[in-house]
Amino acid sequence: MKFAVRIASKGRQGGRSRRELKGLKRFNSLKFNVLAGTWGVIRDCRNRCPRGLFFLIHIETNWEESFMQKSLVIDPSECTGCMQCEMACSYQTENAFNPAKSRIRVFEFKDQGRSVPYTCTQCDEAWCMKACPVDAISVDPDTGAKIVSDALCVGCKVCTIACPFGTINYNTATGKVMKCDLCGGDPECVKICPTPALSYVDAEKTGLEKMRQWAIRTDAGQQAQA
Amino acid sequence: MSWTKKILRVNLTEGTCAEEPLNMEWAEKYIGQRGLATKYLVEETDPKVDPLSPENKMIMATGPLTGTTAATGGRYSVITKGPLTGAIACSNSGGFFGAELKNAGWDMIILEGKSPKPVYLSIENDKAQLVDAGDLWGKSVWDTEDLIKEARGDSNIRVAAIGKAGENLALFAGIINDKDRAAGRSGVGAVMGSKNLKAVAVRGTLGVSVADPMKFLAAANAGKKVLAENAVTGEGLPTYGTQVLMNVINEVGALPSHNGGAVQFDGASKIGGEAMHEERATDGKKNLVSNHACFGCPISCGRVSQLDRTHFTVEGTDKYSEPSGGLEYEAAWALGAATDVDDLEALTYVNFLCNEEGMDPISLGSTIAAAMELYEAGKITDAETGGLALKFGSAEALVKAAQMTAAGEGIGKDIGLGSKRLCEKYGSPDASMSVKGQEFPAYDPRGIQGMGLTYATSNRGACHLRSYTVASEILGIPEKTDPLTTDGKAGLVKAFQDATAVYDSAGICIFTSFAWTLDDVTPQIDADLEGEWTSDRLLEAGERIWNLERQYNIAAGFTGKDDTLPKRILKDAAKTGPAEGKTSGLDVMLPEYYQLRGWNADGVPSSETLSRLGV
Amino acid sequence: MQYVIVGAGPAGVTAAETLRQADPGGQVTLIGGEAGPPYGRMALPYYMTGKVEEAGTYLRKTDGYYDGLKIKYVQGVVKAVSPDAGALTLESGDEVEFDKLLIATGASPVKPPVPGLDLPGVHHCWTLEDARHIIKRAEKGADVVLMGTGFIGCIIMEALALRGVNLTAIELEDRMLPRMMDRGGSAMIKRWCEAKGITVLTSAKVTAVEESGGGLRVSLEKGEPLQTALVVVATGVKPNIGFLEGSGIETGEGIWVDNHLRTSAENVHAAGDVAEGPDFSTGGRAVHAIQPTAVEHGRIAALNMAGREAAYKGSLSMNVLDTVGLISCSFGQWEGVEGGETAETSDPENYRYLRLQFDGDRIVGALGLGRTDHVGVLRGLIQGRVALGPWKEKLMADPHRIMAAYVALRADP
Repeated sequence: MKFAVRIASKGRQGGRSRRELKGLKRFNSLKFNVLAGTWGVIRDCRNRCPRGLFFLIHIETNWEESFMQKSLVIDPSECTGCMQCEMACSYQTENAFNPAKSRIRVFEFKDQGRSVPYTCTQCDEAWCMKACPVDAISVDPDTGAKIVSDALCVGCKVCTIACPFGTINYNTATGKVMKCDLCGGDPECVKICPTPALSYVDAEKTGLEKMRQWAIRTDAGQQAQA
Repeated sequence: MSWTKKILRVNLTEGTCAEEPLNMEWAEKYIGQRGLATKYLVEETDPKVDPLSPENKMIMATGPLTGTTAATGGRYSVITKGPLTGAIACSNSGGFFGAELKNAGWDMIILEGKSPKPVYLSIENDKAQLVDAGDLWGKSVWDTEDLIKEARGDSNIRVAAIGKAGENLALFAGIINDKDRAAGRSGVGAVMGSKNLKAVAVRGTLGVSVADPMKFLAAANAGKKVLAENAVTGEGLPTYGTQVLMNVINEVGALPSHNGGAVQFDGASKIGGEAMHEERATDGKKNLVSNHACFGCPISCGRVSQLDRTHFTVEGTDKYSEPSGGLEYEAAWALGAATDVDDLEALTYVNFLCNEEGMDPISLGSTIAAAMELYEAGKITDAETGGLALKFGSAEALVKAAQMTAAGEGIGKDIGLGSKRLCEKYGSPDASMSVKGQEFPAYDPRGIQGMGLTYATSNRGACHLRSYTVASEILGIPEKTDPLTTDGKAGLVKAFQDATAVYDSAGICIFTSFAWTLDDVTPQIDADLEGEWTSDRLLEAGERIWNLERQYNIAAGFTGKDDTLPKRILKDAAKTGPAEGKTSGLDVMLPEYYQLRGWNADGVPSSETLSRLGV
Repeated sequence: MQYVIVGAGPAGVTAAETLRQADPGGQVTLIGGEAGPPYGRMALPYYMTGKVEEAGTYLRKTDGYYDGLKIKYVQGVVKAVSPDAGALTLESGDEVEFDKLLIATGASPVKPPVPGLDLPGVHHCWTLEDARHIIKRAEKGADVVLMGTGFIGCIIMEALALRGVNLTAIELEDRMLPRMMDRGGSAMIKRWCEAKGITVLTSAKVTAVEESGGGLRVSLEKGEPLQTALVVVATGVKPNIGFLEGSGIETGEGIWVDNHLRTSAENVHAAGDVAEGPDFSTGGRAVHAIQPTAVEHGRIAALNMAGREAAYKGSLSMNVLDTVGLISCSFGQWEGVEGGETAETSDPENYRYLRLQFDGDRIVGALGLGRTDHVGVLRGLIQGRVALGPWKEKLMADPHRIMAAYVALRADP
């Protein structure tokens, strides 16, 4: 499980049209998934494609040239604690301005004079996805986000204790769990953030690796690296 | 929609909490927060009531934009009869408390009566109850917040509380929320203390919705763009906070110093925003640690500061070892320029103390400055100060006097009365730099003429935030006017007052008006609320609110004679700077203002004016 | 390579998928003991309330999923295993050969020695078939007796309560959830259940169940017998290891496995509820019959079976439970460790409770009640062995700040 399943979802590259891009994205993610061998994704792809096509794509596409991974990156040193991200997120997901229902949370450390936004890192381990007993969590092939299917989630909450980052939570109002889904590739929190505290950028350029390392440093992470 | 249409009525005498529907007829006319709560206060209380008696009511009110994603939409106000002034009091605060209250499903809380013992009000969405606060009484604002969060097991709770100053009924005690945001002025904290109410703790998870979401998001985003692209709200305030003004106002000769004896302060550059950014010689660190925004605010003018551990105020102690809410311009001016103290760390320390024990730093600093004048004139002696040499420029004296005021000890008890009562007590009423009993803030009316009329006519006593003509006279927003002339200032003040009443009633911060006109606000309110809201309708509501407040004050016993300024401002010319030789031209501006307002020569609204506005 | 997996629960299915990935050319046979596609027991209560259809309980949702992965899925119950011969026998008499075997046969509910528990109308709530029976009898307004108020009992309680039955829960021990919750928390849960109209009898013993007037009569050691339409037995489970007798595979409470999930037989691994494997907290062995452990076991066992060295650091005992709407959770050594410290905050009036157990400046266990936000972080703090430093003191003062502690330590490692 060394590969991140994160494919770009924004931007025009290599002079391709939007439509071509969309097609490519799908192809690329398929190829990538074969390499990564992430079963959740393979399942997902199988649902979308006839099997023949699946392998054809495998042979024909060259994914490296056109797309970079994108990640939601948090720089706490830039955060002013205004909580606009929480409002944008809750609006996107709950249709109301309700920070309590936001998938991204700003933690305020008054005694240090700083605020730290925090949300799901869409970790490769996908603890939540693996722990789900009813296959309700899958990988969005476009963004790499682990997404919850409300239709499949039974509300058993196993994922909420399985996720060692505490970023998938039970919503008592819906009886389902909720987590960051990267808004399908155009995160609202990033758009509204008035500072560079939140950005959605190519993964390699960012502190993502640092964040991952931190996660991996825990025994839980090492164990899953095996 | 962003009225929750629910009011929480808390009777502290009976110990009851009851829900009631919002009076929508009033809401349509008075918008929310400042305007709407004033309407409730006017309808429910006798304006002649003793502010510290159980018969006075205290209203904590949000606006219709509070809790939404409108930029700065996190404000709330405390409306009551102010003990410092005897006039209508409306103290506005940011932070996160207001938005939390809205998220709990309440437009406002009306607090009435007096609890037989100390209590705090706990609100968790629709559940509200009074909780014994015997163990919190005597605690600081900060400890109170921490203890409530621990006791209720929820660090997401937002708390507004009084400190010792409010408990001791210091007449300029404020209510502090989120540890460093203040409903600071006019003594609203003393009203809370008089009711034996230590704190209000809120947790709200219900969410806030708006009438037309798509329109609202577009309007809110357009508003944010305007703020981001504006030099003041996009750059000046984020970088230096309100302290960006210290050197600017000093240079234009409108920085009151030496208790109004001067209009410029030599030490200004040592206590301003730039100084907070400089590395200290002692420890190599900066006073400023970071910015902290209020709820939903892209400007983020709030400062977070850390004290120099070698400074005399904290040396050898662990007091204030952590960063906390830093100096705003008004506090730095009042605690520093007004008292001639140019010690940034000492000012920061006293500012922390103001937040910790719930005091208004403007009134505190200004009153200490008056006390210094009285001390140097021999009116206050060592017998009263307990040997404290209360001299201008003495950081030690400032710090000690502030500590004594917070504790309600010695001369601090007299300082806690505010400068008007203090100066009357010691036989020098002219030494009080106040209007209607409230100390004026950091702009000298001799150097910025519009502010003289602003202070004189402000319904809550001297205040810069009722019509911040500094924007026009100094910063050129929306257009530049000459700060040294009285021409056109009556109209300017009226326009600012009416518009400001709209901002204060809507749930947003007045600082947005550096970049926004009402035409930026209107689309947000229009999409937020049912019905059609135009700028004209809002402006009329603003004027209505202003006149309602005025009517309250007249009924409370104020007359046109109270629309004045300290003698010093009217008679003693500025000695230095661009305003040299100038006094305030209030006598020229005031009659014109009354006329524009549709008030008679004594400052009483005519019946035509009142009926035109439907007051 | 011929891989055989016995048991088609989460451990077995995850192992099959992992094998397919790790050894694309290998032959994978998955043997399930029940009819129909593999399903998740965790989902059964939600099936009983009607929140999901039967298909909603399936572990994998796609038609032809196992065929698609070239996993041969067969139904059968294993009767005996011979590691030396590399073969197992099914109850049907069929013999299945293997190069590598994974035993993931799970656990089965146990019946206490009470006469009458074989009568019609007495059911466990363990299999999809059980759930179907319960649904038939547990109609709105029906009297139902639940024996056992452990984890499973409490979960079923929710499902039964939502069906609108008159429920009496009987617990032999002196408190509900004796193995997941301490006294304070148990008392709150009991009070909560009672407030929801459920009768909870603790320190109560069922002496007999008899047919009576078209229904059942449940006799108690003390007090009046109860007339009921349905008895649900949830008095614990035990690993399914009976078929291993004579196989030479070492067992204790469950099948003993090492940190590669290997049994005492070289070519046999075990995973999930049946395995007694490394315990993260104690370093010893334990059966942790929980979904996350089953999945981890399945994956690690499969990697090792495919020849990929993968060591397991041990499972963390943890549970999350919804008892008629009151959510509770437990992690690791929630009873505390010798010489450790405890931080606790309790608000019985609002059914909130949080208790953290420390060993030095690390959290080793926790209990939570009435709070759902960010609870997973307790796993992160415990299993990450996160040194709390200054946050130890802060958490001692206010245990609720667990997520803040984690974020603070994470943002500033």
